[in-house]
Amino acid sequence: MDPSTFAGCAAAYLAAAWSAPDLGVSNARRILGGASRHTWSIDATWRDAAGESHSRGLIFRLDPPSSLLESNRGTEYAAYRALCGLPGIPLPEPLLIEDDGGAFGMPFFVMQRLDGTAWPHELLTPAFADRRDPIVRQMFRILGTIASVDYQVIGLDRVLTPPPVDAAWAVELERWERTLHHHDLGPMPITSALIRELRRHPPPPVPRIGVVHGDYRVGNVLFTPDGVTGILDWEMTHLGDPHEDLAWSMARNWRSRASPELIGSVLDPADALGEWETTSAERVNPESLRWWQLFTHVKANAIWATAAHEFSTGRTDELMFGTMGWRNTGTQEKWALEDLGVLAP
Amino acid sequence: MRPAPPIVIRGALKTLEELAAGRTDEQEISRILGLMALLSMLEDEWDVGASSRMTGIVRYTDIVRRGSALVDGARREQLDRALATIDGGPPDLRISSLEASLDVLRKAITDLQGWLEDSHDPAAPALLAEVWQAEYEDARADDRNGLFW
Repeated sequence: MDPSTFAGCAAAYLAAAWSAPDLGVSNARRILGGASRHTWSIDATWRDAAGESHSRGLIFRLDPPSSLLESNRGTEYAAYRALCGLPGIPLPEPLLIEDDGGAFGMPFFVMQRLDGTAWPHELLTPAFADRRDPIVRQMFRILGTIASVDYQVIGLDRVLTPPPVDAAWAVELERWERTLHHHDLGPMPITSALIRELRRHPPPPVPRIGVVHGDYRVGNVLFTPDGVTGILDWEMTHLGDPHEDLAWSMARNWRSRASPELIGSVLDPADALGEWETTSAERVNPESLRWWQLFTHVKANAIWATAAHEFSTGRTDELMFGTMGWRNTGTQEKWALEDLGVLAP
Repeated sequence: MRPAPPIVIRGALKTLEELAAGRTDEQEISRILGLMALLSMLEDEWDVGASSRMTGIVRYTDIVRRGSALVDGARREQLDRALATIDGGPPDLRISSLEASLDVLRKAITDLQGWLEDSHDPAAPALLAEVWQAEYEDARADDRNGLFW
């Protein structure tokens, strides 16, 4: 869809949804907003019944026919609704959701556009030279705050099913093993061995089931030089062990080539854990963290396999899907073996 | 003398880099970066694509052959079938043929490794260590630096 067509569809939809017949849309552009959804940014202007002018930057998240992940639009929207406004968790305000897709030919939801960039390379530019450290630390304090949220108080248990405290690991492992199976690209001896190892040595029961973002990492955090302005992409949100988010956010995948030993190219992993503990009101359990760190390799490979499968079977022609599966699997399996500690010195 | 394909690919990469430098649209830049990633992988694969796979086939074949001597029954038959499939090497040196042979062996290695992990056979730990190492070499041959940024 080209920008002018999108702007026309968006204007017609919003004018009806907000009973604002004179609503106009400008600056429509598709932005990089994850592989699972098509993300568009627009500026909307309108007058209300009293004749007062309004303008607002909006984001549309559309579900394309082929999505990298079998994500649930309703779940993502519910997560934004439940968490938006909680202190210490900056989020865009969710505004509208449409499941029938009439306006654009695909289902979508609309949310507030926040200032900032989610492009990690920006952290390496001069504008962020002395802001990089506080921003990445803040990212982990926000994650700690998310871990501290009582999901029942905010009503997330009405949309998400809490796993048993001693089986949060099994639910996730089975989920991603199933994904790998459904997008089978051939034998993966390392990943198969890793799954057996994870089953043989499960983590301790979770002290308290919490909200898990599911894809918390640089790239899904919006920031300006003033700090983090929003946490995005809640499409894989579920209830489970908060160590899962912690392990995923620290994974080697999201490190920079410039400083692969550091998180966000600036923060030592031990410092990231310290920041998380200041707001989560919990101590990191090293045994749990190690289990979930190994698990990230299964989950990541399932995502790469899905991308490769979607591309190989012609469900998408987005080049990113093809290169993702080709480029990442070998690296992921190499890291898995290094982290498992099974190699001879 | 004809230019070697990697040299031509490097030229194409330079052209794409120049194209990307003049763009401001994130989607366009992303597409160009995607093309550059693809060409870089092709450049890396061009010379070593066949040899690295042949090395993997030789390494896995040796392990599966020795593993077959440790097991019995249906598992041995399965490993022997895998060895028979690639007996005498791959049918030709096309990458797709080499990959097919490697996949037969990777499946056999998966089965063998599951057995080795639980086995009390005194020879099992040493062979398991070799399996881990062989898998690591296999992964390294396929490692394209999957760092995010």
